[in-house]
Amino acid sequence: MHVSDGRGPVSLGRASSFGVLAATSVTDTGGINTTVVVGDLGVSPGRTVIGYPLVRGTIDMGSLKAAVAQEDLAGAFADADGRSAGAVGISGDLGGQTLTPGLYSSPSALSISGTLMLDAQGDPNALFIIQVASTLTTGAGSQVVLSGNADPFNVTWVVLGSADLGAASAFQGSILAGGSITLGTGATIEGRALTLNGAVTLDNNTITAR
Amino acid sequence: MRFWNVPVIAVVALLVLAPEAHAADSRMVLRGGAGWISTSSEWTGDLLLTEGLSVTELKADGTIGPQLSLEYVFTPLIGGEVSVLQGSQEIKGSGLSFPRAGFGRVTERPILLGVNLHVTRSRKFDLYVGPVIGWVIWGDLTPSAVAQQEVTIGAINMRDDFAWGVNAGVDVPFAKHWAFNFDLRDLDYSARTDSRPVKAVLGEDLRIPIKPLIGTAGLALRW
Repeated sequence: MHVSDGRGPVSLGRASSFGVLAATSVTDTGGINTTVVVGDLGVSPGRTVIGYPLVRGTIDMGSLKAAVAQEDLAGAFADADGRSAGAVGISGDLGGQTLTPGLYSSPSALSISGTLMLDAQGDPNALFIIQVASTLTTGAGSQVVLSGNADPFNVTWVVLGSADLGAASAFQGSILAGGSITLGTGATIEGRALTLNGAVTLDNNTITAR
Repeated sequence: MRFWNVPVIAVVALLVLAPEAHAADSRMVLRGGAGWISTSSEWTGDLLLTEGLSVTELKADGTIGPQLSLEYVFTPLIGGEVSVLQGSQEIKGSGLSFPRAGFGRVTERPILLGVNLHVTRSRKFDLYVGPVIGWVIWGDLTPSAVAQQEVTIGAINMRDDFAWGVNAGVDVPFAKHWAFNFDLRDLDYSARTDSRPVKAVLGEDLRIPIKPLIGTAGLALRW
């Protein structure tokens, strides 16, 4: 499955090992080790990590590893955002909808309340790329559910603005954001939270990047 | 074509084609040999590679590489020479938590222009000395595991750099057209990164001063 212009998956390169990658800072407002990141946690060019997330990987504050990851993230962001052929227009609230593999593009803010289903229709290599020209917001308790052998690491959300995940929400896929990423209390991501220019705020979350 | 093939083909061709002439009267000198590039300087700073792994000193190891040069002797006293060298240097690093360890490898190819002042030019030896300037073409620096830790930072682009220095050498004839050649170059150039990530970490390019002393032994073909 190619999305689109014959291009395959969005390659994150050296950013792929990161569950959380921020430009300015990562702040975990929860208690000690109540946020779990399975993967690396990094900040570049900033060097600030506040709080005590449990990281099953390395914590890279202003390191070269984080800097090269940011460089590759910029390339992945440009790739994902630059695709246009065959894009299906979407907008508003995706709650209650089912999307099949493909490229989706929202010219304005996007939200998810309730449940959004991503159905790979039996293809474990199926790709989902969702472009959001503004902000992405998910409601408290909302869910992105995968079906039909969909793989969360084949789901890419490229968000020009900020991304805010509601408390106790369950999210699937890698968020590539231009702005900040905020996870509400208890929100989970099967994928990654990566921002080019902003901060990442955590609170009793689980982020599984591998 | 492998780099070594060029001097081999050139020497064979000149052996066949070179007109007979006394070495002291020769106008062209082709020199080839193996050069030892030793370095005399290092970078010091604090480059954080990843959590718990910070490099505070980087230095290039000495290496051996081929050298080829061609000199045109304008007058009995003055010649102009173009030289090409090649080396592949291991960069060693050390940090707070580990002693000197491998960091990566980088290739360099200095292309030099020089003026040789032939101090003595006789049947027994031809001693020359003069300034050189040039340009160093660098390959990427490819970091390896550092202090036994794999660091996924990938290849680092290096910036080509200006070189300058002095050159001295001697040809010792042993046949009509042939001479042993011993050459010493004291050069000043650096291996400098051209990498946004490195600049983001350090606030500037990482510059490893090489300042090599290059000793070469080889043969000279004069015609």
